[in-house]
Amino acid sequence: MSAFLDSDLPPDAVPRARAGDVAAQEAIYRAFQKPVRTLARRLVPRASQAEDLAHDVFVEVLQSLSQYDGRGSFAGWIRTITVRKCLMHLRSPWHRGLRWVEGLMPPDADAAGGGPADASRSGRSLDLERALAQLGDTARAVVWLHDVEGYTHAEIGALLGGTASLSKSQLVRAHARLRELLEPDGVKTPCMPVSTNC
Amino acid sequence: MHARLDELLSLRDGAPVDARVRAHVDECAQCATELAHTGSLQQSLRALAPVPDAATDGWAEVQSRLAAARAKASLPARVAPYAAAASVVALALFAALRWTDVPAPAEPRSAPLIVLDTESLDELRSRSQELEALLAALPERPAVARAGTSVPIESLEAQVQWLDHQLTLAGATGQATGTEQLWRDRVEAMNSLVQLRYVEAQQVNL
Repeated sequence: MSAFLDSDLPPDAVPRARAGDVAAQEAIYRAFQKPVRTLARRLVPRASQAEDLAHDVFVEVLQSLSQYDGRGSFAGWIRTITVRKCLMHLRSPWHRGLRWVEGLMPPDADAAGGGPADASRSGRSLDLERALAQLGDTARAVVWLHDVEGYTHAEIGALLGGTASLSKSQLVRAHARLRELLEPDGVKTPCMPVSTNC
Repeated sequence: MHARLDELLSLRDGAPVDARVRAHVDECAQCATELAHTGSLQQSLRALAPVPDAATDGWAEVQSRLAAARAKASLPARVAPYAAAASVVALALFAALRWTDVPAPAEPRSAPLIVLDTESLDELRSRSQELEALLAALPERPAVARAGTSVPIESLEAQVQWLDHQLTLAGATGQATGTEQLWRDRVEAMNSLVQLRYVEAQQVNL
């Protein structure tokens, strides 16, 4: 389930941060840095870019506190900013160009699942993270937002500038491709005539 | 005919599915296994651990970006009045050169005498000198700088240079008008510059 729901923020932190209290702003950062970084990392597999985006998310959150009207949950508001920023990054021509160049080069340690800090995670988790990183940007975003963060197809379709059908078809692609990557020998899909081309 | 993956995903999510598909999955072991698999994959995704802690504390970086954003946002507002004044002067000069045959206007009234608060001006000068000393005490700028801090630092340095030029001009012509504001702007710019350079120096030490 979404890690945003587990955040532990003092109730008066938001109004204090809005009034310019730096300690309260830091409390917001400390409470949400992990879910924001995790979500950014799941949507943008390159670690350095995901960390950079997470910093940008907090800058926007702290600069826009006056726009948070308190109607929805604060965690949900931060999550929306994170998702929007990551999707904007994935749509940017710069990122698309980089993906094209990366496709010509061998994978490096900066991609998901790499790096010494990841050594503690189990083999199954690493396999899943690597498989997730190999999905197309849209399929990866859809499977994570739908299956983990609990977004509806209509919400995801709107975020992607499309319809619920776009989200549904990308979810099917993502599941088929993940299955293919995680069980290369065990995929028997006579009843699933779907394209696995992400 | 077995269920398609989109139908299995809809079944998993409790979305509306054709009753015949539902009945088939209830009876077909292969489709039931596939349905369980979609649920299992979802559980595995949800069970993925959060990313490990970053090697460096990101709060310093967020603070630095916030300071840079504030400096960037305030720069146009501070420069705008001077840009507008420069435009007016340029237009006036152009008009004077263009229509030299136009009868000379009546002798303009002298500008109202502005009595400067000399104490305040002295304070501003001394504050500016203190900030200069602080800036000089900071370590040299790194050879490779972050764009997030480097760009606003360079903008602020340019602004301070421009203000120095304006202060020199004001001093040479003996104009008192606006001098205090120029010093005030210089102190503000220097203050932001010192803060940003301090943050930049901290980043290098991390």
